[in-house]
Amino acid sequence: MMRKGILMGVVLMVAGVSLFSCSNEEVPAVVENGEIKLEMPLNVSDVVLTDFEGTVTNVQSGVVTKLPAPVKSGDDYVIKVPTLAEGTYNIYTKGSITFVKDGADGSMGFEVTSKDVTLSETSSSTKVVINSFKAESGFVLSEICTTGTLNPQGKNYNYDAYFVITNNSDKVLYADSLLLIESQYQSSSSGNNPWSPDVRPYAIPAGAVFMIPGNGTDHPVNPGESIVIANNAMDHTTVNEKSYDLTGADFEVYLDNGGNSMDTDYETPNMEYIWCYTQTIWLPSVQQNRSYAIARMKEDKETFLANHSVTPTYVASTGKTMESKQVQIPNEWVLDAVNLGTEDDFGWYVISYGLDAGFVAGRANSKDTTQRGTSIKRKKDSDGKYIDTNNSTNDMEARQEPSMKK
Amino acid sequence: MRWLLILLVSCMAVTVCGCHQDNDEYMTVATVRLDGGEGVRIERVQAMAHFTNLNSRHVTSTANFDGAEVQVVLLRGAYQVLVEGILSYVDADGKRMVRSFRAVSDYVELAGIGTSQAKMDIILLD
Amino acid sequence: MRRLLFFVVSCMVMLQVVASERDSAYVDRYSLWRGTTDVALGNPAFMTRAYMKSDTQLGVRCDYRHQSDAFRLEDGTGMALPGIFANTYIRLTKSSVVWGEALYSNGKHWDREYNSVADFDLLYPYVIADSVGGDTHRERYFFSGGYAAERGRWQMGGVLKLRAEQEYRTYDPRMRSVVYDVSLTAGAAVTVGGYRLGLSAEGNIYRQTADVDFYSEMNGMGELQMTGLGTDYVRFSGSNRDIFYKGKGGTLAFDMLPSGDKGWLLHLRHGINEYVRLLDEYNSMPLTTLYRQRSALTAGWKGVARGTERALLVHAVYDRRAGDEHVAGTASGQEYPVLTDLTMYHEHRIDVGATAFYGRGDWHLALKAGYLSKRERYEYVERRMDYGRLYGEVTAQWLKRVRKDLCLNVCGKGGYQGKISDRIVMPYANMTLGRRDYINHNYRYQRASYAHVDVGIRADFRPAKWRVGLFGQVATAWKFCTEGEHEAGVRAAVGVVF
Repeated sequence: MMRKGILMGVVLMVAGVSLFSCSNEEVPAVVENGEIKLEMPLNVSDVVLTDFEGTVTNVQSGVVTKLPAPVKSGDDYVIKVPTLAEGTYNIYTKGSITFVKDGADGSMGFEVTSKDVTLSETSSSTKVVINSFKAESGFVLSEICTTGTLNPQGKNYNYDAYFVITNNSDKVLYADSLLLIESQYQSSSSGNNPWSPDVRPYAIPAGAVFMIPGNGTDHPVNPGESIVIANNAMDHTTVNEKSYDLTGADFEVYLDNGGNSMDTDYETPNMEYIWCYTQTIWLPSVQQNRSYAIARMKEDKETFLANHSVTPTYVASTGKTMESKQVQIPNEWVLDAVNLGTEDDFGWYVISYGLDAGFVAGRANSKDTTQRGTSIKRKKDSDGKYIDTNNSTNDMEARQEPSMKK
Repeated sequence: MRWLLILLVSCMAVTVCGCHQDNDEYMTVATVRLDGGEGVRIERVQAMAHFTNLNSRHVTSTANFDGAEVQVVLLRGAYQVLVEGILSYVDADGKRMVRSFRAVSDYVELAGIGTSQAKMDIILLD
Repeated sequence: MRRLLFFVVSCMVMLQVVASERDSAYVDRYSLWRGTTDVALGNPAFMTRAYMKSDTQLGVRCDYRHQSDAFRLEDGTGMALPGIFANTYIRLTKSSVVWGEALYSNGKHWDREYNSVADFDLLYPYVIADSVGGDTHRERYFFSGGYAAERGRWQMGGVLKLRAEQEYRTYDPRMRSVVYDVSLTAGAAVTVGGYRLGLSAEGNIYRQTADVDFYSEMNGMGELQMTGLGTDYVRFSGSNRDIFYKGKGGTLAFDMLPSGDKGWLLHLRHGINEYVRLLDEYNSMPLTTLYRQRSALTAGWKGVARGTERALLVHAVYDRRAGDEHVAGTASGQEYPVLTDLTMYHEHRIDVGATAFYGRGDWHLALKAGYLSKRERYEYVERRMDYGRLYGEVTAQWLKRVRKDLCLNVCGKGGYQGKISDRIVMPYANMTLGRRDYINHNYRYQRASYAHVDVGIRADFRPAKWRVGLFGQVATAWKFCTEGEHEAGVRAAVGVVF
């Protein structure tokens, strides 16, 4: 009986081991003769690839393989992929092209990624498309500094916000009638409500609008130069040594609404007050979850307010009708726009994604305070121009050293 | 003894049936169609489409457009979709145009079992 | 004179009987041989004949463990858990018993990372976590009470177990978890032929609230809602730091034990539990649901003949976890509807083996060998972490009344788990450096081999005149890993027994 029991036990164990210990170490297949097609823009001709670097990264192993130089094939270029293991890859390409568009010579840099691309024996080719779109050069928002700072005692100081607008073109432009706009809505998911009418496809729902005054040629800005608009153009270092001296700003925001404004009028020339959601004091978004834009005013103030003041509504889950009194800036007036959001809570686009298809994450989450004392800046390309593809995810970077910090 | 065995087998059957059934329909073949508006017929799209899963932020990209449609295999779920590039189309007046465009949506449901469809409106950029 | 002689002899015989009874009761309670039948004590009906005599113990104890490097980051590098305990088994009548246990412990865990909840082993991979972690305090209350009775061929019993626990950290990130765990088990058994057949059912309800706070104004890091093998539910990770768990489950078990010293043994158990993780916000939105299925089989034969105890048992344990992620749709008025459920996580653990028992006189020996494997998988983007090990273990026990007032129980164990297979698949290109390090750290120790040595001694001291005895127990356990690291542990307890 005992021997039978021992035999039974051994048989069971062997069965268990053989059943469960199978370690099927698969040898991955290889992809030979793989191809990546670099498709050149449809709306240009005589394209010449002047510069290229590219890699493919195996998602599982992390192995990065450099791609060889592409070879022209018709209107496009083709990269012969080195022999790779079958799997999923992230493709990265960067370079420059020259082309002819509408009869004129042009050039541009490109940087294109394609993620989670399967390369296998049966699917060994893929393509990436070069995008030739660049926003028309002109005034751009090159810096947004609204995070506030911390004083030496670690307390918040929120009065030192400023904006920098730069002439990104090759000619002199005039800042007269430039509008600085803050969106009415917040980009967090808690702000995502079904407002009706939804004006975003044709206008920016704005909560604050201020205008650079002038008769059209009062404020020239040379190519590459900038103007600074401060919320309060004072030397904040006298109050908070970690803040900035904004007395050198070109303009400041002053709520000259004839009502119960608590704003202080410093010596710096004022922006003209067009509209603001608050009558007392304006604080740009410290949480960095609103959008900012610049536009060119095309009507006088009274006509604008008469034509573009709206109050969208929606009915909340409690049954209460919520209202949002605002003004609206037509999208065709807009020169540049930047969406700001929280990294883990970008709930919706508060302006048309035609104006900005991405967002820049000023802070990691709603409890994050480490971004205080930093600013959001626009990236520059190799020839010193600000990058503007109307996609802040690519064009802007957060947590930068504020330019007004000395 | 017999009824004990019957009771035992019944209990085991109940417990086995109570086991969780996996929800293992993971992937969907998602087809996204670009819409140029009334009277606009899109002929060719040259663009990169990036699908970002809202839950995991995993990105899948493709440039394989067939006319105005792009098809890609994705994990079922909700996505943020960004399509940027150039398209050639015939407008409402019958004129053939080639222009830069963008189509973005911060929420697209691509959770159908087997296949999913979505339509996105385009914005012309130039 | 004859009467005196008769009296003395009678006393000697009685004392011998009492001593024998006490010897037998001591051996009955602490012998390694109990390993052949203790698995059936999960059915409260079997408690009617669990021990020969009533026994109550009160004492203090401490468990200490330290690892030179955390074998699993979520467990940390060690713990110290002192506490007080009491347990009792009282025969009320010839046919009924009550038993109970109470425990309070208040101790500490060190260097826990990627784990901001209590009961990680129960709830993984669906925990809230961060890469900073730290030391935690753990306070536990445990009570259980049971009653069993027999009439004729039938035995019935029930036991209620309550556990309340909190685990917290006193510096950022300040995690705090509060657990309530209640189980009720009812069982019945019948004596048929030479065997006792029993069936039991257990129901369980589980609750835990877990939250993480930061008191420092500068400290704004987010918390991760982990979803398995280094992945997290990115959409709701970050500022959502308050979660709670709701769990429920049941277990059915069947046991067959010989009524006497010899015969076949069978234990079958199957349990199912589910634990839902919900966010405090968004109207208690469910993030994930963990389903656990645990099945166990132990079968064998035991016998006692000519003063020798022999048994051979085979065991097979299967523990399966499947995790559903609830894919959220678009928010509407601060509520997220659930779009669909996807079972993204799977884990299968198997342990098959056999144990041979041999006992003669004061000595007992157990030889155990088997195979265990773990296969863990995240469906998309594919992640896998598997290993398989063969193990062998020898346990020896010497249990003896060395003096009239002193019993000693000396136990030693040594074993080895040798890895025979391992595999890892990860989308390393898409992982951050921190996440890569976390996964690789845990995998390093999963694919290692281990040798362990345990030695312990328990002494029970009770002079004849005393109504209460004293006991003291100390044991040390060491584990050595082929990665060059080790674990050392000490357990000690002192108390009274009566």
